[in-house]
Amino acid sequence: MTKKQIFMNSAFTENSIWKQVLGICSSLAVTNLLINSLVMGLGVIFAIGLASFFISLIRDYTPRSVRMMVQILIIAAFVIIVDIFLKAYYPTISKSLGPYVGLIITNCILMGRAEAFASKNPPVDSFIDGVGAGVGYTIVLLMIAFVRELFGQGTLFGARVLGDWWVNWSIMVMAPSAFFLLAMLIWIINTKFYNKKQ
Amino acid sequence: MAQEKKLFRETAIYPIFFMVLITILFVGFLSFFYNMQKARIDDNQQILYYRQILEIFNDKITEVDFYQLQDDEVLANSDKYLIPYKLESEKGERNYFKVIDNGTVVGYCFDIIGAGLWGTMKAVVGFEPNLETLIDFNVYEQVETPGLGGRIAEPAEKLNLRSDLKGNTFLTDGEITNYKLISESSTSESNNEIRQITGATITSNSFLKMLNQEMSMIIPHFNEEMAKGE
Repeated sequence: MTKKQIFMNSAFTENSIWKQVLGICSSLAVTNLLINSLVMGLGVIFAIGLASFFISLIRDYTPRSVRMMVQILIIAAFVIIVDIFLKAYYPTISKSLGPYVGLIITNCILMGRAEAFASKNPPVDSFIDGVGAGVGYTIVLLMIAFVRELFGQGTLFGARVLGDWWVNWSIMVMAPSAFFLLAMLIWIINTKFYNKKQ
Repeated sequence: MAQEKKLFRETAIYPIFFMVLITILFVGFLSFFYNMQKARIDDNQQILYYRQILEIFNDKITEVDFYQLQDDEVLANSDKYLIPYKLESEKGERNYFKVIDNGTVVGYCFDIIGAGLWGTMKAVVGFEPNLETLIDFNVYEQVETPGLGGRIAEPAEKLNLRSDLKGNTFLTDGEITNYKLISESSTSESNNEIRQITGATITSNSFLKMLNQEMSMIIPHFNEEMAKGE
């Protein structure tokens, strides 16, 4: 596969959320605001890209018996870097994301890419695959957050878009709305793209 | 040489050696990175702490003002400021602040600590000068279940427990009001009925218990300090 194919496959064809239904906990939790989703997405892209790169770099030296411990350790290190960075430079966003930044460590997407791709492929390809998976995840977060913030608060990235006449939909601010939106998104994408292929 | 290397990688000790090495490398790097950012993170936490106190008193203060603040210094913002104090109590030192607006004491804010469902919970609680009315509170540190007990840190507009306590009577003839939790969907019929957080009964109870226990302990010491003229 070419580098472009690796990226496209990871980000879209085999998208972690709408194709593999991984990492949905955080996608439900942080999508109430576009800015939270964007920061969360960037954090995941950073952590998954670099973690995949390093896991791949040491894959020939990693004993099979401890490989998952090593993968978790490396993933956790990069997630903690994201957490420290947010606490230092974006404390408000860090507070509004709460424990979910730390929970990137347990995001199935990261372990999934580490085990399925990075542990078997060269570092640069693994980095591209990781970034692709992160981009695919971020796109889904932003799509859900766009609908939730627009209808729930009448704003986009905090800027008022809908006028005073708009009555906010309370359900959109609450977590259950993300369930419905995510399910609809998966349904639409699968019906439109995957079923035709099959 | 190559054979020796291969042999070492096949020994039982190799996975342990490898794991230790990787741990030292990554934890070492993390420690270095954290130490580089520690001062900035501490500053941010301090700013957040003061902001939570000032929110209780509906004060508005810009970030620029916060960056000028120093520990144990009068926190000046034009005519509104906080004066920090410390109380010695049975459970250790407690911070409290005198809140002044235009030369008049508009209230006191106490830092309280207690146990939540999963760990320690810390909050700042604001009172009118005679402590009879609870102005508002802010939980600034907690590890409750996100989305359930974690809602204890939400603003009053989203949290019934907080809006019910906001402006509520706290002291009557020197006695702390005995607050009682009711279902979030019901309506408070008296001042002491507080709507709990749905799905987080333990957190709701823990908060009220913390408020009661901490203030029961703090008030006598606070009164002593007042009698001494601080």
